[in-house]
Amino acid sequence: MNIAIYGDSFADSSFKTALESWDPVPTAWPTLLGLEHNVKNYSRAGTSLYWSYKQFLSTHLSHDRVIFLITAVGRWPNPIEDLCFGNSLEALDHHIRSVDPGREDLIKRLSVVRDWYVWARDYSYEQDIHELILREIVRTRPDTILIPTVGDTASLRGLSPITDWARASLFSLTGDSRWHDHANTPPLLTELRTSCHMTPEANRSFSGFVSESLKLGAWSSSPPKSITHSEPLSYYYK
Amino acid sequence: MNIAIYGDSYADWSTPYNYYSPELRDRARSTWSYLLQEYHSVTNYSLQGSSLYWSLRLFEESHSSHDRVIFVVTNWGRYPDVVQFSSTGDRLWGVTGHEQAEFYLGNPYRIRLTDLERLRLEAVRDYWVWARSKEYELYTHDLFIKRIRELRPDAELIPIDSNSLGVGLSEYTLSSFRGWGQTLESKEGYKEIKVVRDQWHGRGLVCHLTDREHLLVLNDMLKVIDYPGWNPTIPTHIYHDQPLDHYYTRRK
Repeated sequence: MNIAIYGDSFADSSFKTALESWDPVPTAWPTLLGLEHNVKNYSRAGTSLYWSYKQFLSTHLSHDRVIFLITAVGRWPNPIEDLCFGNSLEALDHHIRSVDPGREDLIKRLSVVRDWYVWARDYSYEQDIHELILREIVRTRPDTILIPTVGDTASLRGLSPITDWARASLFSLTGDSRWHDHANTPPLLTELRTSCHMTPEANRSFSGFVSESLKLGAWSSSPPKSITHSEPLSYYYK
Repeated sequence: MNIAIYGDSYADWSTPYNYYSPELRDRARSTWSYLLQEYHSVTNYSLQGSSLYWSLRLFEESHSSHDRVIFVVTNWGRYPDVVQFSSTGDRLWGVTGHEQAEFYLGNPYRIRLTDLERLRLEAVRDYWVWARSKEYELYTHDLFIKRIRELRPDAELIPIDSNSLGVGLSEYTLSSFRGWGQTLESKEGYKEIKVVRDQWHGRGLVCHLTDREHLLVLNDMLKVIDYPGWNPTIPTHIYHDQPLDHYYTRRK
């Protein structure tokens, strides 16, 4: 089958971790899915639903099936410059600190976006736009398999987000049940040997669920409670 | 009939600007939306400077209580939310663009900004100058129109400036300028109404229209309530008893 994948870092196989020497591509779930199907991955880390929707509109007709990972609500719609997406205050602060100080224009734009998020954003507006774009995706392509990433999309509440796989693997690696509690998770860890924010084992499990969903025609909603790993926590995370 | 009106300053006869001017407050009784109350039970949800999104949210909550809906569709690209200043009580103020944000930052009327209000307005102003995406704003504007139509196919969508939705309310103004013998020389790609707005400043107008224009709009609104489908025949020239400078001053 000829499959298109749209989404953010949860589907961007090449999204790098803190470990420079780690190649995330071979263990990423889109790569694993590509072993069974002809996969074209349009995902890019940090992008908004609107950005992915534009890729989808211009390309989905070339594909038999579409898998769409629905990113978090409220990301800046378009890249601020090239690959620089203002997807969170942390990301914006990081970009403001790391761009060439001579790029005053870019620093100003990043700062303006940051100030918008701090002082002027309207989260209800962002949620409503998110839902309306989601409707457009379904209206355009009713057979699209929608997979939430972080689970803040109201109309997809019944569906398991991809983060449930990351949580399941962290629970398995740490034995800490708080990883299953969306409201009370332990402090975040730095990713080392992960792909799409998940361990290689979680990617394998997730890829299997995606394969099954392609057969069923809809996203399966029963993530595993735990995932067996061959290495200890420190191999994957710091 | 029980009518709901949604929209911006073209329909908001109770705009706070009128509140601060007894003369304008008095003239508000000549607006089409006010006069419509003589013929129908009207609930006017409009707010000057508000965005299509802000009106859409009110519409979603309230449209089902009304027999007919008149939706004055504002231009795209406005700040989605409205602002409320602690110094002006529960009055709401729309923000149409960076110029209006700058205007509020100058503490007009009885507005006295708190630090937080100032930071918010500065962030909104700077967004327009530095970070806006017209493509995205146009796209979301179309999404909202689609949503209104989906919820209420019988809603009359009336743009303020003529576009694919149909004849805009500002066409009445253009006909008046023709009636005053004005030639609106337009730069390529500019709408004539932009030339009017750039060059002329309304004097004592409420909802941007003269009393004569309000009567014509009222007449067309009464027609569309009885015969759905907004498609008014606006005279090419509208004539007034008074000359142009009675209603407008030229911007410097």
